[in-house]
Amino acid sequence: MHSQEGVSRQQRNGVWNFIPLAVFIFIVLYTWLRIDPGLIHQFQDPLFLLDSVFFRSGLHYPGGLADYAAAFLSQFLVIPWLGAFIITILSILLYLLTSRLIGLLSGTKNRALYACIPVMCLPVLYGRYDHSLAVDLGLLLTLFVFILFIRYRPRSMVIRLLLYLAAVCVLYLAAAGHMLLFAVLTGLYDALHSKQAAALRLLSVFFTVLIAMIIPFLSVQLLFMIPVKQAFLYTLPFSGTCRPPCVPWLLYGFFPLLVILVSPYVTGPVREGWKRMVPAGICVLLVMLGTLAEISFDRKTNKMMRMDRYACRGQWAEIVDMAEKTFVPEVWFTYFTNRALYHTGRLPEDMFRYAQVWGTDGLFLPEEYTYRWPMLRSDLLLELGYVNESQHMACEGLSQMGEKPRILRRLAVIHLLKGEKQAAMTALLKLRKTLFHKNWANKFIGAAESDSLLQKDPELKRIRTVMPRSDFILVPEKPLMDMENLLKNRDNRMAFEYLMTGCLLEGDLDSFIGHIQKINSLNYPAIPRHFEEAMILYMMLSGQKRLDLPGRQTDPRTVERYQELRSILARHGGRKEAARKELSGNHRDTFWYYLLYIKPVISDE
Amino acid sequence: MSPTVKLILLLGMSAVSAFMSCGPDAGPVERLNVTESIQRLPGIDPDYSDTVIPPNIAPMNFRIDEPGLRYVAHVHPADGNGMVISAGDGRICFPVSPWKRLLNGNRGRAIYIDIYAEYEKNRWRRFEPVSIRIAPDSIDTFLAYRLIEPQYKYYHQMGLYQRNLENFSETCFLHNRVTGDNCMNCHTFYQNRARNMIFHMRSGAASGTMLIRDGQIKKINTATDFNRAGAYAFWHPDGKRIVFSVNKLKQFFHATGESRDVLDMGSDLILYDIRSNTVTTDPGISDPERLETFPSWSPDGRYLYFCSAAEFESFFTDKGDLLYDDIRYDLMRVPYDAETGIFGPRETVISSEETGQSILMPRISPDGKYLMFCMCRYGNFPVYRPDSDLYVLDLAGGRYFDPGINSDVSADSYHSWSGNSRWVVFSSKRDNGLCARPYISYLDRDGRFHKPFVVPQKDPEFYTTFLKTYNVPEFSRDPVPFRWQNLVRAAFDNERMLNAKPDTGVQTGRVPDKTPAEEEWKQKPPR
Repeated sequence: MHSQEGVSRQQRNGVWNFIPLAVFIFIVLYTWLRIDPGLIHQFQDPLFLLDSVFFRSGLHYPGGLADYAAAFLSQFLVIPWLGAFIITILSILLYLLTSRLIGLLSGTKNRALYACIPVMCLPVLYGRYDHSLAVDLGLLLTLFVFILFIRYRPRSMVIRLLLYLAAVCVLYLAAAGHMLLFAVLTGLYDALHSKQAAALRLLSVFFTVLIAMIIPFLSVQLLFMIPVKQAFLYTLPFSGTCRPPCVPWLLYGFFPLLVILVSPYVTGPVREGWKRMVPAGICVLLVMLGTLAEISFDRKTNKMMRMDRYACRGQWAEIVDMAEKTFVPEVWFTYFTNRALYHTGRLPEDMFRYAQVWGTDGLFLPEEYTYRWPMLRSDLLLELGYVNESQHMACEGLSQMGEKPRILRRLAVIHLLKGEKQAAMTALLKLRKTLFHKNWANKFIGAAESDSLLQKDPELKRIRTVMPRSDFILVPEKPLMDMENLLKNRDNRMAFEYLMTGCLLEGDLDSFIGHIQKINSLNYPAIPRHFEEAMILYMMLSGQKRLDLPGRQTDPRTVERYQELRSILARHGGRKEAARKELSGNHRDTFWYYLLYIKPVISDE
Repeated sequence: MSPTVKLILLLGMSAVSAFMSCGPDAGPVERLNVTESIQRLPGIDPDYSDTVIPPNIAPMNFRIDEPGLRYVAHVHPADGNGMVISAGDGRICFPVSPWKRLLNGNRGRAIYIDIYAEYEKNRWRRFEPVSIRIAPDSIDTFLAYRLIEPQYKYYHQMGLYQRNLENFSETCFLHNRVTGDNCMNCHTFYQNRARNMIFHMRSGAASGTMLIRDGQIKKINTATDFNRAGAYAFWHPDGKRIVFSVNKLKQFFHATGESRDVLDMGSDLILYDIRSNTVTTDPGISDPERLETFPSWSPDGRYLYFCSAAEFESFFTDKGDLLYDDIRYDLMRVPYDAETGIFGPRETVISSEETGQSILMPRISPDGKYLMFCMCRYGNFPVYRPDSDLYVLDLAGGRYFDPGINSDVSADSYHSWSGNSRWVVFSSKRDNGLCARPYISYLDRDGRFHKPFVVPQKDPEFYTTFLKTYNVPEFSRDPVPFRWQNLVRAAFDNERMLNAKPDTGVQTGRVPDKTPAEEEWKQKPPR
């Protein structure tokens, strides 16, 4: 009987031991295929420099060393499988340390299942894209130090406190706020697991708490110029951006709870009952966390970064494909779609096939993006040849987000385009100190030195040809005026299409017609469909028989569609709401439909 | 090559490089097998050749920009041994103590740097020696500045810093991360003493003007019912009042060249009396039909110099177009009697019509002999004008001249005099056209300015990748005296903030009668 029970327990344990393996497989697949670490990299754009100055900058504030190590590791997230591997390795380390901690505290060998709980919090955190590796590194270091501390715990309270002080200082310098977790764990351990007299335990806990409170305070008073909140909480993931906000609490609450629950003060029967209940409960919890990871997964940021990455790589067809399959009611979604449509030659042909609910903001992005996502605006402006404004946006990014490889690359390119070699070198020499941008920097340094940049890069050559030659003043609230100014300077096809489609989005037919002649000098094989639609409407409204565009004729199919639209409207007595359902079948992708149904809503809003 | 292998190799190379560079004495230069003498100066960066440097400046570390396997620099006076520095990567870093001894022992004389480059194994080239002259006059020990990114519209992080020019120590005396991420600027010392200083913070709960007087910190709201809060400031020599400009500035952007530009849509000057916490003004310095900005007292406190242009509205055409590039400022001054607090009539010192350029940022040397100012094609923001150059007005002779310290293409702008009037520090974008660096020039007793040099850094390559700009460089003889914690406490303590009181005479339109004073000033010929 006894032997059968033993076998059965072993079998059960064997089953439980497979749970961590399942968890790690889940983490590697989920982070790789669902979260995509490459998108975390796209979002965070970490800069890591191989020089002593950059390392020393990590010593200038508590938690700087964790940031330094995180910056080093984060740059590898650019390769999705490698990023998933790194996150999984961190998860395994967290599992091993948690498991070891449980073993040290409780002596139990069946700890695999419990150790999975904190590990399963990680996919939830990474699913937000702003989660820093510094958090995980800080947690790992804290657990490691705590395990060492209880494993080699001196008996003398004085020595213990001195060791504790040293550990706290090191932890604070390396991982800032994580020191508080260490203090809580140590305090609880002293209170609940120590075999010393109650008075001594109380004294020990008192000093533990006192030291933990004093160190951040002293660091602000004596060492670091940082706000008090940062001194206590930096590197802890409680900033409030995590959804749901309970996950960091679950992750960081797990360890104190563990110390409490395995203490001798939690009575035997409760523990026994707990032991029976726990495995099943934990399995449910793990499944819940896995589900939570998917529920709380930041789909919007995922799509935004995916589109941004496609745009950075010039994979415009993929963006159009995304826009075909899905819709996100955000202005950036329309912005990426329109950009991709331009690059695939479809903007004036097909833009109204896609939801244009943001007006011209869907082309140029609204002003708030100047400080929220300045590089998105910078990208578009560079393509338009509006290098000064692109530089402006990149510099806003530099001010807001600090030095990021993407910003440095942009500044280097812009300065080279403007012939400002020395300014470009400032960014290029910095990029040369990185691992992943070094080759790019070297290529551009070489090109700058030999003045062969434009020969080497056809896109930059194109931008050079459309850069404004004479000065004009930017009118921030009127981007179409900037497009007009860009067109005055050069034959700039992109500026032309953005101006004309902008006119359509604003319903400004007069301005549209005022610029349509430019189509002849830009070598369009035929009049794009939406332009035809606008021209036909203008002729109908103004009573003109024809528009003078030498050598160009309106496609009869467009005229036919217009006649059809008119007859549908007429059938409904000119009541456009009544005709909407019918029109949305064949005419939804037309400028006319936009003008009838979408534009009025935008204008009202 | 995989990134990991790259990393290991790079770390290894860095370690070797660090070991090789900035090494101490490489042995007597006589042992070098010099096989070639190059009849030109070597390329060095920063270029310190033919400069005049203070005897108390930090080591002028530089990088040798010549091909070579190894480098040796022998720095010595005309008749002495000096020291020898070797470097594998061309970075020549002088040890502080021997450098100080070398400079102190050679005040008023030249030192020479012989540079050798090993172009093949055991075959060395020698270049013409680089000459640096050591001035007899020391420079103020500290340089304060704001460090910011090349800024456009939005800002995030910025700090006010203080550099000890005698070594490489740099401390941040206030960073905006502890003041609610606000904007801070315009640190102004009283007679090159940081013990008395003011600066501003804008936006958020900490915004206001911080006045530090004899180490005591007060927060002041200089805005009153009739004026906005003060901006550009200058202490009166009596230390009891401060003149401010009040500006309504608007940024705008160009499509080509330097993107940033600034419009001054309305500016006046106000005078803040520290003792009575009162703000006053005068038609002479706040004429409704003129723009007045960049105030600066003469060292005796008898004249207030400032820049002035016609009112903003006058630059609009009938069609409503703004002729922004016609806005040019004259250099003007008004007499002032500190005892009665009465301003005299304004007079034009240098007219923009005469120069064809806009005259900005006048600063008079503490000995009262020279007035340095910026001139650029138009406008009021020289740091954004690549054509901005520095000029000097000889106050005794009345003529202005180009001191010969300007760069050809980039902005040379904000400047400050040392306490002994022998040194000038100014912001210059000559390195890359993007970020301003602090350059220092020596003014000798014959009134000649000497080739400027950039403030030396421990790492000679520091500036090549440093993407922040040095803003408002100001000399001070002593360190900033306050603890930042006390300053932050005062900044957020709005209950104790002093709200400046308006001068009731000005507020009610009862401007003090000017006639007797005008007569009095007419009798006193301007200096």
